[in-house]
This record gives sequence, C-alpha cells and structure tokens, in this order.
Amino acid sequence: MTFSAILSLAERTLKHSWRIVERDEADFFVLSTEKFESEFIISAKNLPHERCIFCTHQHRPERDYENNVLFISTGGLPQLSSLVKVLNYQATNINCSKQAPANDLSITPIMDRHTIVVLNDDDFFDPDRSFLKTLLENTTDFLIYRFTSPAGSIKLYVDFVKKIYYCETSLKDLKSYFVIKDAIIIDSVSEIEWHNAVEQATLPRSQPLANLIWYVAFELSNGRLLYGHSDQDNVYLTRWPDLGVEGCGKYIKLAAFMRNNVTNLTVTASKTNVPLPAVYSFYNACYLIGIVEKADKSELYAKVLDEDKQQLLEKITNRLKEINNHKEAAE
Amino acid sequence: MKGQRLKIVFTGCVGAGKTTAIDAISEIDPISTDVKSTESSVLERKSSTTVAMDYGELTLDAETKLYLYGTPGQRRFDFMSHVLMKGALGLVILIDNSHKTPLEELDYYLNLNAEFLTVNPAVIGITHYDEISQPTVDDYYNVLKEHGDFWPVIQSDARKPEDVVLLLHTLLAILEYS
Repeated sequence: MTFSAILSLAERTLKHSWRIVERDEADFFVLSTEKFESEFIISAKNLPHERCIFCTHQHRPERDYENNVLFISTGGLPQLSSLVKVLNYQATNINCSKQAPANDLSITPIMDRHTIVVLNDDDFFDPDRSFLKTLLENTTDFLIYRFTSPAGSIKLYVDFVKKIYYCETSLKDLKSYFVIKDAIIIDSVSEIEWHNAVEQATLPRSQPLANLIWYVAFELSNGRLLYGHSDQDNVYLTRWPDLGVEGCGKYIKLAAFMRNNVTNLTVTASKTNVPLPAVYSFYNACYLIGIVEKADKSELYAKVLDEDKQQLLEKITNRLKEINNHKEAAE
Repeated sequence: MKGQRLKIVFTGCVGAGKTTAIDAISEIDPISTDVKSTESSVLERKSSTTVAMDYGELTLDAETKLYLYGTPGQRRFDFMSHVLMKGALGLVILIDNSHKTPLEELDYYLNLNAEFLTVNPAVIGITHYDEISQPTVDDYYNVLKEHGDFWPVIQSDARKPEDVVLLLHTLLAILEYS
C-alpha cells in the first residue's frame, strides 16, 4: 500500500481534493523525516518551510499532534486520522503562493524512505551525472575547469598526477555554479600548458585533490545516498577526512563516531543525532575519497559517559561555539 | 566535576604556535613565560621562547573554567610536559610543517606522551602548512599508523581562533565517541 492509497482512503473525509504531483507543481511537500531533523533537507531542496509536512513515529496523545506532522504507524504508512487532520488544517490555514484553487490541492512526498513511495533514480546520488565524474575518472593528467555565469568566471586547475588542485577562489564560492546548467567548461591540456596557466594566474596554495572531491560530492549529494549503496551496510571510516575542508568541520562528531564504530548509516544517524540526509552526504563524500570500508558485522563501542562528564563536554563545546560566533559577528 | 581543574594541554616543537594558539582563544591575556632565546636551535626559528608554560582560560560557568596550558618547546624542559599533563582532558600536538624534520617531531611527541595517550585523546595540528606543503597530511598519518595511533591530523593556523576551536572541538568529539 502506498501513500496514494492512504490518500484515496482519506478522500471521503478530506475537505479538499488532493492529488500527488511532481515536485515543481506541488503546493505542499511531505518529508519523511522528523520535524527536528528536517532543516537540512528543506534547505538542500529549497522548499518553502510553511508548506512542508513532516512525519513522526512517536505516538503522542492526539491533542498533542502538531498541525504539520503526520503520525506514521508501525506499518510505515501515515495514520488515516492523522493524515485527514493535517491535510484539512493545511488546506484551510496555509496560503499557497501559487494561488491554487481552494478545492484542488497537490502534494509531493520528498525523500521518502518509509515505503510511502518507491524511490526512483533521482532519489539517489549518481556522480556520473555531474562534473564530479571527471574528477573521479581521472582519464587525463591535467584539466582546467572554467565555471562561468553572467556574473563572471572562476578557474580550477587540477593535476591528477600529483593529486592536487588550485582554485582561484574558495570552494564555497564554486558551489553556486554546480546547479547552473552548462556552467562548467572542461579543458584537457598538456602539462606545459597547465603549468603555464597556473604560473600566470594569481592562486592560493595548492590543496589535495581529495578535498575538492569531498566538497563537491558532499554538496552535490543533497542528502541523497550514493547510487547502488545501501544505508543498511555496516561501514566505518578508515581514517579521518580533512576536517578543515569547507563544511566538513560541522560533522566532527559524525567523523569521530564513524572512525570508532562499525555500523549502518541509519544507526549512525540515530546515535549521533545527525539528520540521515546529512549522514548520506557525508558518507558519499568520504566513500568517494576512499576512506570508507564495509564490514560484515556491526561493532558498536558504546562509550557511556557519566552525566557530569557529558554536561562538561557540552559546556566546553558551547563555550567554543561562542568563540566562533563572536568572531563571525565581528566579521 | 564542580571545582575540578579542567585542562587541555598544547604541546609541540619550538615555533609550532602553542603560545599563539592559546592567545587566540583565551579570554584572559595569556600568562606566558617567554624569554629571549639564547639557544641556536631556537634562534633559528624565533627570538623568544617559552621556558615554563603558557596559560590561558575559558570560563564555562560561574564555577567551572577550562584551563589551557602550553608546554615549552625546548626539549630540556620536557619534564614540564609531564607536570602539566596530569589530569588533562587531552592533548593538542602542534607540528610546524616548515621545521627541518617535522615527521620526526611528531614521532618524538607521540613517544614523549605515550603513557598519557594510552588513556587520553590527542589531535595533531599541522601549522605553517601555507608556507610549505611537504610533508603532506598523508605523511603524518603514516607516522601515526606506525605508532598504532588513529588521531586526526588537521592543517591549522594557530593565529586563527576558528582553527584552534576546530582542534578542540575534534578533541571533545574523540572524548565522546572513542
């Protein structure tokens, strides 16, 4: 039974007509994640927060249900009464910017992994469909990437022999080009041409190619698991990623956990309180730089910190965050 | 834990940036025992050096402070490391990548603190990486592997608070998960 079947069952008691549509046409979006761990996917998929509907497995008294949270029963499907309540509330109280007819609303499930809908290829991350493919295949020794947009262009110089790259700007500045169609032009050049180009440009120092691959893979993953991989495989990190790479420093705990435990990604997400989509992206990036291995058995080294020590670590962590926040505010 | 002296120790070779790192994040003016250097090995790298310890503080709440200690870089003061290390939560080993033999320096500090590191964590911060990118981070991991250690290696600029904070955040994550 699918989400659409439950929707059909609910039809009789819904105040409006609802249908499942493609993402671009949707008035509302159902996220299969818990509300508290949905920020990442909302941001990654650029969804309107007020028109997102979340899911929860935690049964609460009906009076405590939130108007944008669907209760998922043990069968992995939304509870009928919860669906009716949430959809009726949303249709009546939330304005859709598209001015959809009041009696005809649409909905699309996003990143559904609770068997509400069957995942299609687009729900996985396939590096072969992006320019990451050229970084991974390494079929030539020297490449120059030109990222172009109406606002300007940025060059990236990759030496596959020494496994280094130079970039005219920070990786963060490249991110916006990843989603622009035909924004990337790749030139295969000779070693001499490559060195001449690097010498003539004003560039920061070289960085390991693995850092570039990590960043691009993480950003392009958008919370989707690598194509052909399962989140039920037992995996671990064979070494630490470079925590100084843009974005990687946010996942220190995830790295520490995966460096010291062997388990699957869903358990990893739950033990570290990192949203599963972020765990997928992190895993993809680490896998593609070759620091992930699979294992037959799960080996969890449960470290039980006493409450005092846990609180103490939190205090230190919070104080360190204050230092960073203070610096960011000063900038 | 109330009233307990919580401390993290920064160690490493002369000029690796221990004093600078503590200065970057301490909320008090760090107390430093820098003196004009006379030793030629030190003079090659900088004009003054720490002879006893560096000291900084971070207030966690009304009753708790985190103390940051830096060990002297000169080997004749190594005994101070063992004094400062007692009861520390963990160790930040800073290695100057522009040192003549940085990999040997890491090897030295891993050996010097081997007993402490059997039960406490460390992170390795590689400084001056912007000046010279050899040896690489991979080379440092190889040294760690020879010791059977699995500590993270992070390029760091000791002048930047965010880089020092990253080292400490990583140390805390290891304390929590390994």
